Amino acid sequence: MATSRKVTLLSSDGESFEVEQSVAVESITIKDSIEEGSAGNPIPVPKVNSKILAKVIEYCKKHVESAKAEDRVDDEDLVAWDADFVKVDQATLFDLIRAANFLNIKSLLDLTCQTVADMIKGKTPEEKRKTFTIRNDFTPEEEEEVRRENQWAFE
Amino acid sequence: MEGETLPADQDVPRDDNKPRECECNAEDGSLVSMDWFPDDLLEQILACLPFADLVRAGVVCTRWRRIINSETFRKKLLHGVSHRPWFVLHGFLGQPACAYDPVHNVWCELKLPRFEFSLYSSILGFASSTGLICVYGKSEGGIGQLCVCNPLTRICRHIAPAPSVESQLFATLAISVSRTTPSYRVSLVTSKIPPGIQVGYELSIHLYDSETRMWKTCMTEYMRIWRCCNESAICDGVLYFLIISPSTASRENRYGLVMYDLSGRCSNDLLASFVPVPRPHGYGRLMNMKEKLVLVMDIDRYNGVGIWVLNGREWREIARSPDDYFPGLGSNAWLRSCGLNDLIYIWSGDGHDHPSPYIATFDMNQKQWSRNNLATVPSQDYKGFCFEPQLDIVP
Repeated sequence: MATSRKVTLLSSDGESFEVEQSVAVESITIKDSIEEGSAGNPIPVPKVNSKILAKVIEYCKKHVESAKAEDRVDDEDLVAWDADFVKVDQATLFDLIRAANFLNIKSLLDLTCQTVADMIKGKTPEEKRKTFTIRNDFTPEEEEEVRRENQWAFE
Repeated sequence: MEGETLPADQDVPRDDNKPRECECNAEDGSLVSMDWFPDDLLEQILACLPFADLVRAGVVCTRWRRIINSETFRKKLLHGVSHRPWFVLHGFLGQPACAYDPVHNVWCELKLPRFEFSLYSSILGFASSTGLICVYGKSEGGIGQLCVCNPLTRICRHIAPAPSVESQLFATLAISVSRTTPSYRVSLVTSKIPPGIQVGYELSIHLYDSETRMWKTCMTEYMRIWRCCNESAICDGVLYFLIISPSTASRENRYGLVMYDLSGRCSNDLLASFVPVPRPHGYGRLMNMKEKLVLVMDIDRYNGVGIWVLNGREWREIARSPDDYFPGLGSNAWLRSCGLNDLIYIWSGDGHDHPSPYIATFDMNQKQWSRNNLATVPSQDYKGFCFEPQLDIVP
């Protein structure tokens, strides 16, 4: 039942992407606006620029294609493809998270969040702050209190 | 400032130095990349972390701490855990325990309060349930020590006086944590050879209630041929434990199950409650699976493992392991098992230091077997038990 209907997505910086409808509706947000008929054509995608939208479309295309394939071996290939897909710089990764959240693409959101979680794993708090440029806004007393609460993790 | 302030994680160089849409600048002009994530996104990321990392994450900044401590986050986080509890391996005194988290498929170290446990020269019993681990041991001089702790928060309570440990004591420990009130009960069944008696054992059941903070000896009975062994569990207010008749030469009826109603309402004639185990020659493992008593035992000398649930006074077989999981092993074969809520872990070995290279699991809910070779047990000296991590339960 593959539909070859195409839709056009318009990124926040004005670039158009023509994609198959079956790929576009991987995004629940886009699916909803198509079904409601409120979208018009092209469908505007605010908050997502062309670079990120291109990546998101690439992801959706791959996953739609893999779902069609009947050979279950593809699962491992897909996992490997996903792992490669998220090998991007931190800023792009965060943009992908925002886009996946806004466009409501659960699998992409899970993948990107897990990737960030993997970057957090195993790092000391100071290393975490460095990696994500987070300011330590505890007062010295608060920090001492939190350390004491979590004593077991720091021994 | 933009180009240089973002500290480069070696593997992810920035590919452009332009200010990015929607990034907030901190007062000193440096780029702050994660602060503009809304709370729910940050929650989703943090929820992917294994427990050990999660606790460390609470120290990073006030916002992360607030999220990690929030009620909704904890509920979300621990939701999966209760169905698939951790498998904890404890080796010898003084070494940290390792916990396998099946949800994240990782091992992490679980540092049981070592200082407290250093009082113990030997450990006689381990028990665990929702949130709490309980240890019964002997200190120098034979003083019984009992400790209940929440290993995640490291809050530990010594329960004294514990029933004393004598030589030739057999003991089994069980703990039951109430889901409705902040209370728990610890049962200790002991069998010892009373002084001056040549044959038989004195069996006692001791119960500790965290609400009254007192020990009670519920019963003491002389038994000519039976004593307790290592298996007990509390389900729905009833204490179940296996008894063995060590001098029985025949394999028939060497082991059996008895039960004791902890509320004391029914008359508790232990041997009247006797239920033979389903396979007469084998030694089983008892566990509380959602307040049902479950027994795991081998079928025909390690040609497979069976799982039974107790219905009243009868065993109902609910599963058998696939043929290739536990092939027949030699005469030194051993089998161990533990379980909690929905998941049962089973591991075996042939001989002292030849454990099987994987741990098998059975999901009671989905009726599904699987093998996991990320989780292995180094030898049969390691005690394995199931543990459901909970942050809110206090011993």
